[in-house]
Amino acid sequence: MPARTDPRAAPPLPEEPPAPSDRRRPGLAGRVLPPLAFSLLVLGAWQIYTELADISPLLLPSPWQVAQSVVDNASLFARNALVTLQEILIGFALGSAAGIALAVLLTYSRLAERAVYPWLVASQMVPIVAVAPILVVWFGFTIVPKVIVVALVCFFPIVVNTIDGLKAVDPEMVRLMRTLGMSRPRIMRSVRVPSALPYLFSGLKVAMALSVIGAVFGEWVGASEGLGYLMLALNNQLATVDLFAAVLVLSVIGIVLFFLVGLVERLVIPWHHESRRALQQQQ
Amino acid sequence: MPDRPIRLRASGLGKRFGAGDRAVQALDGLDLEVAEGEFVSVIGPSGCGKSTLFNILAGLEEPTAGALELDGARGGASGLLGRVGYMPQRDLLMPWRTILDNTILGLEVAGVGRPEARRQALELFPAFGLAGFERRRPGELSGGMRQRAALLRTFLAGREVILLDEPFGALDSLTRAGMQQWLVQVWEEPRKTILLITHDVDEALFLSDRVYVLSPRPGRVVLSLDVDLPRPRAYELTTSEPFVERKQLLLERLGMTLGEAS
Repeated sequence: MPARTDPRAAPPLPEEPPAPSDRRRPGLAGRVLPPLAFSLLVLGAWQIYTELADISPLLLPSPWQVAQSVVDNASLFARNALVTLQEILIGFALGSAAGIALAVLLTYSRLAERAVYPWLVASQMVPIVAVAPILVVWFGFTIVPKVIVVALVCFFPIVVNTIDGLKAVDPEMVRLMRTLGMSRPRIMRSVRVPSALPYLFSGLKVAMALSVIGAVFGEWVGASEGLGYLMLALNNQLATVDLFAAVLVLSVIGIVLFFLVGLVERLVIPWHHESRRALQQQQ
Repeated sequence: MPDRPIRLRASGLGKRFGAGDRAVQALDGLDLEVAEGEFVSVIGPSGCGKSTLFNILAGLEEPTAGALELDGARGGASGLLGRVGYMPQRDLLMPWRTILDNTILGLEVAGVGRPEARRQALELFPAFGLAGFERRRPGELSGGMRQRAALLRTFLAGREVILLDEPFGALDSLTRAGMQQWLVQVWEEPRKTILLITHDVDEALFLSDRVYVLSPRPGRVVLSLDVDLPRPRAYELTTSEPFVERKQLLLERLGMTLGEAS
C-alpha cells in the first residue's frame, strides 16, 4: 500500500453487513384492518346468536341494541363520562407526579429506600375496598375520594417502574461518563433519567388502565354522578341494555386514554421504538 | 522511543481486592510507561488484571500500591479521572442521542457549545466512515460503525492519553481485521498517545510501537517488546517474517509455543 499523502483522506473501511436499512412498518391499513375485522367478527357472531337464540335483552342485549342505547342516551352518557374522565385525569396526574417524585427520592437515598419501601409494598396489600368507604366518610360525596382512589391505584406501578428504570442504567455507562469528566448531578440528568424513561412509560400505561377501574370503583362507593354511579343505578333498574352501553362508553374512554399514553411515549422517546425495531431486523 | 517525553507512567503498581485469606492480588509491582504519541499495547492471559489496570489508569479505581504519573505530576488514580480518555469494550452509545450528538459528549462536558462541538465532530465523520449517519441513532448502525462512533467520541474528548479496552473484541474476525487496518491509518495523523488492552497478539503487534506482556494473576510485566516495524503499516505485514518472529516471541512469553497452542 502506498504511503498516504493526505492524512485527512478517509482510509478504506472494512466491509461490513449493511446497517439495518429503513424500517419496515405495516401501513395504516395493516394496523387498522386486523383489529377492525376481528371486532366485526365477534360483534357479528354475538348479534346473530342473540337473534337466533331469541335471548332476552335483560340477560344479554345485542350489539345493535347497545349501540342504539348509546345514541339515544348520548347526552346522559356524555355528561357522566365527563365527570368520570375528570376524576381519572386528575387522579392519574396526581398519582403519577407523586410516584415519580417518590421514585427519584428513593433512588437518591439508600436510607429512604430501606425505610419506605416496605411501607410502599404494604400499602398495596390494603384493599381499596376497605379504604374507599372511609375516604367517602372523610371527604363526602365530592370528587376528592374518587381522585384519591385513582391516585392510589396509579401510584404503585409508577413508583416501582421508575425506581427500576433509574437503577437499570448501565453502570459502565456511568463510569464512562465519569472518565469524560461528567459530574454526578449531570449524570443523573443526562444518563439516568433518559434511560429510565422507557420504564416510566410502561408504568404509566399500566397506571392509566388501572385508573379507569379506580374511578369507577370510587363512584360505586359513594357518588351522585359519573359512569360508575350510572352503571350501579342502571343495574338496579335492570336496564341491561343501557348498562352495556355505559360499559361500552367507559371502555372507549379507557382505550383512548391508553393509546394516548402510548402516543406521548412515541413522541417523547422515539429512539426506544427505533432501536427495538432495528434489533428485531438484525435478528 | 527515548526522545519523546513520557506522558503516563505507572511504577510498582499493585492492587489487592478484599482482605485476609480471601484477598486477591490482581496486580503486583507493575511498571509501565507510555511516551508522547506512542501506541502501546498490553496483552496477557485472561485474568491477568488487565481490566483492573485500565480502571486504575482511567482514574476509576485507586491502586493499593505504587505510584502514577501523568505529564510528570505524581498522584493517585483520582488525578487521572477526566484527563485520560477511555474507551470500554462495549460502545455504550446513548440510544436516545443521534450518532453526532453521541460523539460530541466529551466536548459538551468540557463546556464547548453544541454548534461548535458538532462542527468539530462533522469534520472527522468521513475519516471515521460515519458520513451520512450523523442523524441516525445507535440502534440503526452495525457493530463496526458503532465502535467507530465510540472511538470518535473518545478522540474528540481531546484527552492526550487514550485507553482502549479491547475495542474490537466483540466484532467478527473479518470486521476486526478491517477495523485494525483502519485504526492504524487514522492514528497516523494526528498521533494520539494510545494504550490498548487486547488478548489478540496480532492486533497488538500490528498496531503498536511497543507491547507489554503481562503474567497471569497477579499481573506484572514479563516482557516489554519494542515492535520496531516500519510505518505506515498494511495488513500484509502480519504474514511477513519479522512480524511472525515477534509473534513467536510474544506467544512464548504468554506461555504457549506455536506447536502446542490450541
